[in-house]
Amino acid sequence: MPREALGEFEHQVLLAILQLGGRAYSAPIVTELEARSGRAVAPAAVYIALRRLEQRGLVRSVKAEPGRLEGGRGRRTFSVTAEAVGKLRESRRAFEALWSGLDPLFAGGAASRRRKRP
Amino acid sequence: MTRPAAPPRLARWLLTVTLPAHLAEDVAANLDDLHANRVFQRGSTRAGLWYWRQALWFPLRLAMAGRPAAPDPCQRRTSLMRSILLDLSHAVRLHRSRPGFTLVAVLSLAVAIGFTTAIFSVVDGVLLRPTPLADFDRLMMVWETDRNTGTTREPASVPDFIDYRATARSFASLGALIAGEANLVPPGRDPVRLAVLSVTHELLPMVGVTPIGGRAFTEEDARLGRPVVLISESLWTRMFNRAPGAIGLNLLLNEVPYQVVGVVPDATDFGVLQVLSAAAYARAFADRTRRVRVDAWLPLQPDPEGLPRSTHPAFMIGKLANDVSVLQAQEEMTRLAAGLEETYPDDNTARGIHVEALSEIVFGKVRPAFLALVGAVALVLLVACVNVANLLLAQSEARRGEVAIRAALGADRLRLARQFFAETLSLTLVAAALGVGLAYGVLAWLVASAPAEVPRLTTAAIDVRVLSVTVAIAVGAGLVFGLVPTLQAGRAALRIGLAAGVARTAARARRRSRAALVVAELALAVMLVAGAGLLVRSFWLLQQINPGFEPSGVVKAEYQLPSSRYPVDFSVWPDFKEQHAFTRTLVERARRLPGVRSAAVAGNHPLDPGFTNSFLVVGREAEASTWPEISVRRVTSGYFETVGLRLVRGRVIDDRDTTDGAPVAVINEAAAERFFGDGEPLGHEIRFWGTSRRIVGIVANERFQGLTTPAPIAVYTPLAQTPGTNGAGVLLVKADGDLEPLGAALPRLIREIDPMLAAFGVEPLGDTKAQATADRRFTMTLVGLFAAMALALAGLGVHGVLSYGVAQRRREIGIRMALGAQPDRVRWQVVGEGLALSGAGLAIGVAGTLALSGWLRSLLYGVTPIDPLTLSAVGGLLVVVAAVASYVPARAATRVDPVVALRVEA
Repeated sequence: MPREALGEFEHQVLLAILQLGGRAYSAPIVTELEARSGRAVAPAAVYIALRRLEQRGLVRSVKAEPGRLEGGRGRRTFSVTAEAVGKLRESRRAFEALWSGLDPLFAGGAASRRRKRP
Repeated sequence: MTRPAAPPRLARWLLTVTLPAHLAEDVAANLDDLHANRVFQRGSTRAGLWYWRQALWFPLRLAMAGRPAAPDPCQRRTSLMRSILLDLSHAVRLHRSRPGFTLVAVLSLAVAIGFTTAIFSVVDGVLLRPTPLADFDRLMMVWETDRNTGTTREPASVPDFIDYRATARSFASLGALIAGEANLVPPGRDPVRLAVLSVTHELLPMVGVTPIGGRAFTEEDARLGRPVVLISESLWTRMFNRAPGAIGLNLLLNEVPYQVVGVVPDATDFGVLQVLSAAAYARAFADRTRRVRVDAWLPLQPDPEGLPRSTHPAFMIGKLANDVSVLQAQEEMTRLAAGLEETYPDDNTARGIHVEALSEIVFGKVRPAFLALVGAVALVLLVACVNVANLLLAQSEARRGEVAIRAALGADRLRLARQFFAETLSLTLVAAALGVGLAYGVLAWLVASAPAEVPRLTTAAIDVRVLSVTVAIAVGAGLVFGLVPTLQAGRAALRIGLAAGVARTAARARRRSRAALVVAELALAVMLVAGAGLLVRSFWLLQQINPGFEPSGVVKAEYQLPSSRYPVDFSVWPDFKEQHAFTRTLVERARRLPGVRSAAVAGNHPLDPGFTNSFLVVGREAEASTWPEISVRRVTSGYFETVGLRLVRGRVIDDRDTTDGAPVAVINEAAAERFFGDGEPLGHEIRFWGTSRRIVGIVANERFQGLTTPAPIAVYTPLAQTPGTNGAGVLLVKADGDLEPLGAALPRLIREIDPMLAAFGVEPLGDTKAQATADRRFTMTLVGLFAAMALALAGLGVHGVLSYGVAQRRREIGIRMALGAQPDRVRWQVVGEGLALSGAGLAIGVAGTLALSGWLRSLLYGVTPIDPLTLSAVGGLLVVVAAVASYVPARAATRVDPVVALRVEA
């Protein structure tokens, strides 16, 4: 493979940002991941994933000047790059190809584990 | 909605200081949000806990995840983790850039840590760790005394013991043991020799011996005369492969079956060897030079015939009753002894009791040596620490420039301190790791090579507490000496450019403190070398002692004839036909072995104290009541020739002196002088064991109570006329050339004559003699080693401080050389400084030696602790070391090129 594939958690982080509208601070990303996966997520893990994604050019971050944004503190906003969107599309296609025809086997299974959003 | 609860402030602060600056603000803000969320969902307590977890975990996770993202170019702070790693890698690079310094520092510390830990561990195991018994201090040795001989440590007779046990109120319990040996013939194997203790049923529980299987002895075992035996764990392993079924089986001891009733753990040792060795006589296997383990215990059975009141084999050990002091016990026992003296005047005249703490017997002899070793090794540790401190001080001095630049560039003192902390720590940690490895090695060596006299050595193990204390001392010293001057340097750094003069004054002060450290090192080294010198001189003097016999070329082999096949019938004594036949055959056949010049059998080998007996000279009966007992040595013809004992007058014992021949005796010079003075002893008759024996010869004195004890009065009798009642004998063979083959030939010879006999104690007599000084050799070797280490370290210290001084004064020396100073004068000036240092060290060290001399006194022989010869030799040695150590920097000084020196900034 020419480029490194997306790790599962990195995959989830990218999707979480997209769910949040394509731009987000880290805190909402954590909350979003927790809500959708139904399990506790360590903020540090999210940070590490974001850092790695940024090094690979899959997210970009901008540090706000203190005072300009709500809370007045210098938070970093992460946004998904076009390259990342392409990668996600690619991996979704690959997964769907692998999943096709297996639905009868998993009927009713995957969805039931999800917890409700508060 | 109320304002969400704020996160824990301490946790938040921790987060901000431990995270890299470029992350801290963002992470904190986001965690605050998440925390607020959690307070809403789960309550503030759980949210607070969650926040704490994040505060602790976040930086660690981040650090573990690898390099942080490209930091902002202007950042000043880096994460703690990262900076520690940086510090460490910087330290490692630094250490690698100066391998000499690193090697010396690490090795000296490692050696000091290793040896200190090992020695302290041994001392802890032997002397300090509580014995298996909670009330070891209440255990007393109850000796019999003899006012005639002046001996205070004699075993008691069994009837005496039984009387004392019945009447003494001072002891909660009073037990006795008799040491012996027995042949064991394992099926299908060669016979082996076992150390055996006969004990009363009180004894084992009292000294803390509890069987791990089966049962202990009961009072009935002795009363009913049951043939039962307790065996040691190792015998159980050797013979029965630890099968539980061994209990109930029979064991053939001296060809008599005994039923195994229990197994005793190996780890129990209340110091039986020390107890036996402390006695004036009747030591049994304690005279064997190797460490012996008791392998079998039998019930001690009273035997009025074989063990009458006149025979003293029983060691009494008692446990003081509650609220009874040693003094009170002594008083009561003295009263009881006086009663026995009155009742049994034939056997108990002049007999008293001496009560003494068992711990004194067990540890008394090794305590001074061990304390000296602890002192010595502590001095080495001190010297090593001082040395490392000195090296670090030199380093900090050399790096003043670096520190100044870094401080000027904005490194704060904490940052600098951390850097130096990392350097010292990495150095000492490596040294500690090496030291721990070394400690294990040294401990194994100590346990293997320590003399048999050291009790409870098997319980010695590396003690983690000791190890951590040692490492802590080493690290602490490094830190104090390495860090403090560095910080001072950092503070002074900014002023350097402005006031070079101030800095130079400071440098001079620092040099003075380094010189003081070196003087301290030298003084400590002097104390160690002086101690070692005294021990070496004592040992050398001991080697010069003429023991009276000549051990070279002689090999000995011991055996014991079992009474089952070599009957001991007192009605026919001394005509023990079987025993005499065995002895005759053994001597004859030994003389025919290749290379053998002479051979003999004796009751005791040289340096075996044997036993003493009361006696009188016919015609002078009245005097005898105040005479001490005399050592009785039973020998065959050829004994004096074999062991090289010189005949003074008359004749030695020879083949004429058979069982039927006229009873004769040979006395030693000490006895001749003591009892006959200027008179002629030859022709007089000496009487003991109911027979008058004509004195036919006088021989030179032979030492047999250890090398340092002058030869006691002794009488030699023909073995054929005075056979032993316990069947013990020793074959002595003098041969030309290699003694190695004899080591195998003698046991073979003994077994050829009687296949069921075990030969033991087979070794050259030279080894037996060497073993007599093994404990001194052990102490001397260790202290000598420590002294050498201290001296080497002190030499390095002198070298270091002078080299540094020369480097500092390069400019000055250069100017002087340019102005025409003679290289010799410059050189001498440097060497002179070294000698001045050593002079100061010597003075302090000698004073210290004198102050501590009392410590060594009990370990010395033939020299006083203030031995002028030794002290001056030490002084000379120190001066030589100092001169050599200062010559190297002195030569470097005269190689200074004036042109270069003048260009370099001072």
